[in-house]
Amino acid sequence: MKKKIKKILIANRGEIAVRIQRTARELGIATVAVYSTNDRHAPFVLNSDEAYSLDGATAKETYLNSQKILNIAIASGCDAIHPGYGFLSENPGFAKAVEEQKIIFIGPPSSAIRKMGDKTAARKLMSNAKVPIIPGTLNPIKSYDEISNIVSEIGFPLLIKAADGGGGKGMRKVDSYSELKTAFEQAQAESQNAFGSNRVYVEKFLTNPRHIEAQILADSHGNVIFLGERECSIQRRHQKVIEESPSSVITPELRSEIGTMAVCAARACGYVNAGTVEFLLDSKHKFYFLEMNTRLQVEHPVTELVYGIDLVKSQIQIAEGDALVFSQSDILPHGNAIECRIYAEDPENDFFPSTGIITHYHPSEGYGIRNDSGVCAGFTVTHLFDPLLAKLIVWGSNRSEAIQRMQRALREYAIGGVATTIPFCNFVMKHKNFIHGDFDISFVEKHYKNMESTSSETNTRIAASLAVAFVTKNKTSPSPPNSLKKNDINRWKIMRFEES
Amino acid sequence: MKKVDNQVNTFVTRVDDLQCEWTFVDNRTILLNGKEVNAVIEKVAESEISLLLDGKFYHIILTESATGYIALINGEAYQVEIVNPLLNKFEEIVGQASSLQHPDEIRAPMPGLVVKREVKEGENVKAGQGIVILEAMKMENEVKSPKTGIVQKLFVQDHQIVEKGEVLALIL
Repeated sequence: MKKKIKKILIANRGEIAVRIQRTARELGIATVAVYSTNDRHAPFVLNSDEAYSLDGATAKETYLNSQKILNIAIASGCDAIHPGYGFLSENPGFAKAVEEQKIIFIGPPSSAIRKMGDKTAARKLMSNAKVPIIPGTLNPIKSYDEISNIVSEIGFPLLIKAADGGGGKGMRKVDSYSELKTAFEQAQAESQNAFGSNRVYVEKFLTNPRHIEAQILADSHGNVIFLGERECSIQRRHQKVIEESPSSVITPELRSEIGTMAVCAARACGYVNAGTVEFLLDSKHKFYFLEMNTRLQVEHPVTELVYGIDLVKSQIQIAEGDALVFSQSDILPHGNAIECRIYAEDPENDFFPSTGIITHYHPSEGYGIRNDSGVCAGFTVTHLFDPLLAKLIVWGSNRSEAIQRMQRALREYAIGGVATTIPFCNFVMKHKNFIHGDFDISFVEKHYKNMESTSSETNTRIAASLAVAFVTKNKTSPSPPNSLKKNDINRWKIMRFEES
Repeated sequence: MKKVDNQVNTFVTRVDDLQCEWTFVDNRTILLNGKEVNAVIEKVAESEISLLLDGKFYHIILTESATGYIALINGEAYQVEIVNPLLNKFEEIVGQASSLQHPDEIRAPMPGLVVKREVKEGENVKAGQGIVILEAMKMENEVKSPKTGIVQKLFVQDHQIVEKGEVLALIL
C-alpha cells in the first residue's frame, strides 16, 4: 500500500521540529506546527506552513495532549504525524489512535512500540531472541518490600529503571541498602511524572561500561538495514551530552556483531521505520542489550553525516510504503562525526537547568559544521521543558580532524542570557582521555567533577573581570537621560542616593 | 599611580582566587589595582563586549548569575563575582536583594516545584545531605546542604512552586 504524504503535523517542539520541517520542505511536503503558549515565537512555529495553539503551558496540557493534537491533525487535513523524540513518540496508545484515524504515523507500528516500550517485556523478548541482556528482573516491581527482597539476589550496585520509559528519566543508581528506599521512591515519582506509570525494574549495574547503540532502518517489505553504531558514553545524570559515529573502540568484527544483533532485535518485534538498539559494552568488549528506542534519536545527525543518508527522509519514504532504495552492501561509513548537545544548564553548578531570555545567539558556521537549533535571540527558556537548545554536529575525514573541528566550532559558539553546556563540551574535546578514546560512561564523575580549578591563563581571567567591571560601571553610573535604559533606573537611583 | 577619589568608578571583581580592583578614570583610562592597563573596551550589543587588552583581542559574552556574571570567552566560561562592598551596602539600604548569598541560606538554584522536603526543622544534617527535592524541566534534582549543621528553618512546603534564588532553608 503506497501513499504519498502531502501534509505532516509535527507533534513536537524545539530543534527536532525544525529538523523535520527541513526535510519535509525538501520533499515538497507541507508542515503543521502545534505549540504551547511560551513557544508562540519559537523558530519551529515561525518556520511552519501552518501553526495551531495547544492552549496551555505545561507539557501535559500541550505536547502530551494526544487528543488535542489528533483533532488538529484531522481539522487541518494532515495525512501524517511525525512525533519526533520524547513526548508522544513512544506512546503506543497515541500511535494506535493515529493509525485508527487512517493518518500515517511516521514511526513504527504501535505493536512494536508496545513490545519495546515495556522494558521488562522487551528483556524477555530479547532473551528469547538470543540477544544478550543485563542480569536483573524480568518483571516489574510493585512495592518496596518486593525490591528489598530482590536486591539480595542481584547485589549492589544496581540500577532502578522505569519499565515504561527511557532516556535516563526515572532511573536511579543504588550503592547500598541505606539509599534503596529514597531511590525507589524517586524513580517511581519521576517515572510517574515523565511516563504516567510508576512501574520500575532492577538491573545489575555494570561498572563503567561504554554506551554503544545501533541505528537501523526497516521497511514494510521485510528489509532491515544496519547503519553503523554511535557511541554516547559522555553523559551526565545518565543522559547523553556528546555522541560520535563511528565509536573509537569498535573494530569491524565487533561492528558486524552489533549489526547482526540489532537486526535480530528489530525483526523480533516486527519493527518498521527508523529505530535504535542500545547496548552496553563492558571492559571485556562484551555486549548487553539495554533497550530499543522506537523513534528517531536526538543524536541521529552523526549517523547522517557519516553515512550520507537523511534519516527523516528515509522515515517518510518508509511510512509512504516504499522499499529502501539501498541494501546493506551500499552502506559505507565515510569519516567521523561528533555531536555536542547545547543544553541550558550550568556545568559549574552540577548541570542545574538555567532559565531566562537568550540575549545573544551566534552559532558556529563553516566547513563541516551543522547546527540543529530550536532557539534564537530573544527566546525565553523556561523550566517547563527539556533544556536542549541546539545540537552542534561536525564532520571530519577522521576522528582527530572531527575533534579539532569541534574545538574550533565550540570556540565560535556564543550564547548569552543562559548558562550552557558549551564550556563542558569544550573541556571534553580538549581532554586527553577523550582524544585517545579512553573513556566510558563514568567520564563526567571521573574527570570533570574532580577537575582541578581552571588552568586557563591569567590574562583571559583578567579580560573576563574587566568586561564584568565595565558592564557593572555602565549599569551603575549616572547616564544622560536619553541613554537611560529601563533596567538601569534602580541602579541609577542608588547612585543618586549616594551623592545626596 | 593615579589617585581617584570618586569611588563610584571603582569595582572589585573575583574569578576563582584572582581578585581585581578596576577603576575607570575616564573613557580611555582604566586602572587595574592602581596601575594603568592598555585596554580598549566596547559594548557591541547587550551582553556582548569587545576588548583589546595588551594587544590581545577578546570577544566576551556575558550572562548574569547569582553573584555576578558568567563570561563566555572562546567556548570557556569564567564565573566572575562582583565583590564591590560599596555597591552591596547601597543595595541593602534601598532594600534590594544583596548580590552576595548568605552562607547559611540554601537557595533554589532554578525555578521549579518542591517535590519533597527531605529533612525536618531542628534536624541535624551533614554537608552534602539532601534538603529538598526540586523538579524542573521534568528532572528531579536534590538540593544539598553545603555544610554540616542544624536545619533552623524550612521556608517551603511540599508541592510549592519556587522562583530561582528563593530561600529554601536556613542551616546553622
